[in-house]
This record gives sequence, structure tokens and C-alpha cells, in this order.
Amino acid sequence: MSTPDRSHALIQRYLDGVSSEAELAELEQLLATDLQFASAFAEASRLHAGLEGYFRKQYKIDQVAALLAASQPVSSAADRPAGGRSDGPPVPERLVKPASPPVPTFVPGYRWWSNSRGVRIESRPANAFQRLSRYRWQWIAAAMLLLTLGTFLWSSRNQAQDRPFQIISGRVAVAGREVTEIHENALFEVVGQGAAVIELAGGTRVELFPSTRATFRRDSMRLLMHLESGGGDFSVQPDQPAVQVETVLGMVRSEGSRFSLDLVTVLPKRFSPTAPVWLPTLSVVVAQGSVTVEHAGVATRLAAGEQRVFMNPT
Amino acid sequence: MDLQEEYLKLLFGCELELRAFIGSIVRGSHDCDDLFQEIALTLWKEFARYDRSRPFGAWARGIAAVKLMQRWDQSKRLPVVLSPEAIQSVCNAFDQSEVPASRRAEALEHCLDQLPEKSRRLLALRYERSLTIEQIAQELQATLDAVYQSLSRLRARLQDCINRRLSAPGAR
Repeated sequence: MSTPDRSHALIQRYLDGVSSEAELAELEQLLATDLQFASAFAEASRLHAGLEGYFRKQYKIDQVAALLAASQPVSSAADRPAGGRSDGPPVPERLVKPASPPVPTFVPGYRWWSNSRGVRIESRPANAFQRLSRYRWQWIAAAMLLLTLGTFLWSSRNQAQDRPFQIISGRVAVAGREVTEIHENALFEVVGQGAAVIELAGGTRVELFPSTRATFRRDSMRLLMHLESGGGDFSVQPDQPAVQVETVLGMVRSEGSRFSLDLVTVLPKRFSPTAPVWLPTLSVVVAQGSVTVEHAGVATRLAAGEQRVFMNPT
Repeated sequence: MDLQEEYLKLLFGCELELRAFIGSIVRGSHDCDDLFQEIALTLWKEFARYDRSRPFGAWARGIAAVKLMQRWDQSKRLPVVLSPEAIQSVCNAFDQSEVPASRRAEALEHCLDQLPEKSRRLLALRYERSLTIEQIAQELQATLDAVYQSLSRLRARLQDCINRRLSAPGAR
């Protein structure tokens, strides 16, 4: 390897945090003795910092842009959300009515079992008991199976409920005290200057911004995050459980997507908007997949690359 | 303009450079942020002694270098990775090639715009999601070496593009 290639590799490996002790010693030696190398190191460090700043702040810029765009007065009918609502920010064309969930057809276990075997329990004839007794062992087995299944579901639900959420990085406080894990129904806050990464059930990780306040709670069997203020980046793999985020401005649902949320309830002290800004506002930016936001009775689906700011009617 | 206002204006003007300098010596973004704040506070305390005939960036880096040297622990190399001698060399190198941060940022954005989407996605994995080379390799189902080489080539290409942009005649 020629010297410039070696120098470049040494610097790149150092900035990627994969230098060995020997490489680190070589780098230090070159920094101290070779002005050209030191200069290349400074340039590479600037680029590294510039890329970090550019990519990690890009979504923030998008959100502020969306916030400012939303603060412009709605002037034309085309800008208005479907349904004639003149309040709030524009709603994307891909406005979808919330589809009614399919009504589950509940077939009690004994009826399903009996139907599959041609046993007509509903119109039981006079000697039904005698006929039924022929199946008593199957009945007992079915009952035991149901009992086992019920116990299993009950215990796994309790286990899932009892399992706290792990804080992978960053600092989180509950009731003013820093914690290393978060339990359901506990209001927590991201403290310090950095974001906090929290692992949810199934391995989904959320990176919450500093000062974010939220609670994890369970809505029947589903876990949802109640976001009071702040926001974060959510990355949900297709094979992981769906993520639901409940906010004062509506519910955000996502399966297999990457998106950012920012619920602004108070403007930063230094922020002096030139146009009126309504609060609270919920900014949603979708990087991958799609996200559905239910706001003011309307479900809006945002696809990858779309962003939207939601706010209450004035 | 009062003293605090003047200080903040100067600090914001060289914030990117100062962060790049600290980031080149300190491992971990949280530690970088913590040290940046600590250094910004020290700079404010020392600001009354700042000689206005000198560039603020160089003055701030000098104080930052001393702070970082004080945090150097040879046995751990954390959070400060480089030795005091190396820190001094890096500080000198930064002083000799300072360009206004806004011009550098503009050049970077221009050069990023020239990249194909695939390359931008790779950079986003590394810098937006802060994934390690190993994690990127897993995500892309590629070898470590392939990811490392791609990133390395991309950064070299970006560096060339930025240098050309900054030295082009008529560049602001």
C-alpha cells in the first residue's frame, strides 16, 4: 500500500472507531511528525463532523420547514383538507377514511368443534345427552386444551406486561429520579442533552429526543406509547409488532416503517416566529414505509418521503 | 452589543469547527456534546481575556486543546483518544486550514447533491442512524471490507469535491 493510501486508511479507520492500538500509535506518530498528514486528518475530521451534522439534523430541518409551511394562512380551497375543513394544515391527497375493522365472527369453541363433527347442539333432540356422551373424552380434551391455551395467553400477557423497557442509551428519569428501565404506566422524561434509545417488545427501538415526556401503556393487548411532548425517531421492522403513538392531536399507527414524530407543545425560548404558530403541533416525517395518523376524525396515510404537521382547529 | 451577545455570536460562528476539532479527539457523540458544553462554559469564563486581534476560532481551539489534554488518560484512552502531543498537532493543523463554516457547509451540501441515491443511503446509515461498519454490513448483507471500502471511497470523493469547490475561482 502506498503512503497516501496508508494515510487515508489510517485516518478513516480512526474516524470509524475501528483502529487497533498499533494503528493508533502510528497515527499519533504521523500527526506529530508529518504536517501534511495532520492537515489531511483535520480535513477528514471536518468532513466527518459535517456529515454527522448534515444527516442527523436533516429531519429537524424538514420538521421546522413543515412547521413554518403550516403557519402560512390557508388561502385556497386546494390547500384545505378534504371534507371542507378550513382549519388545520393541508391534508395529503391520499386521504383515506379509516377502514372499519372487520367484525370478528366469534364462533364459540364448542360450537366450532361440534359443527366440524356434525354434532348439532342447537337443535338438540331428546336423546342428545346420550349421543353427546359418546364424545365425552373429546369434550374433556377440548376443555383442557382451551384451559391450557387460556392459561398460556394469560401468563404471557402478564409476563409481557411485567417486562420493563430497556434503556439502551441516554438518560431517562421517572418522577425526577434517573432509571435504567421503564415500567408500563410510568411517566418518564428524557433528561440531559442527548437522545435516549429505548427497546420495545419485539426489538423495536425508539430514539427519543431530549426533554421528551411519555408513558408506555397497554390498550387491551396492544402496547402504545402516550406522548405528552417531544418526539423521536421510530424504526419498526416488518416482522416486529406495530407501533402506536397516542398524542393529544391524535393517534399515529405504523407497521414496518421508519418515521419521526415531534409534538411541540411550547415554543423554544429563542424561537421567534415571524408568522403565527398554533400549538400544539404534531410533525410527522416518514422515511420508509407508511404511517397512518388519525387526527380530528380523519385518518391520513403518509408514505415514505412525506411529512405533515397536524394541529387543532383554531 | 453586550459581552454575552458578542460571545454567543462568535461561538456560533465557529461552533462547527470547534465540534469537528473536539470530535476528532474524543470518542462517542455524547462525550463530544458534554465536552463541547464544558468548553463553551470555560470560553465564556475566559472571554474577558480574549484578545480581539486574534481569530476567535483559534483562541477557542487553544483553550479546548488544553481542556482535552487535561482529560487525557493513557491507560483508558477514553473519552480523549489522542495523546497531548497529537492533540497539539491536530490543533495546529486546524488553525492552518480554517475556512468559514458556512462555505464548507455549502460545499458539502453541493457535493452530497452530486452523489447517487445509493451512496447517500450508505452515508445515511453511517451518519444519520449512527450504525457501525459491522451493523451496516449486516443490514446490507455485505462484507465488512466492502462496506469499509465503499465508505472510504465515498468520503475521499466528497473530500475532493469539497476541496475543488472551496478553491474554485469565484467561490465565495
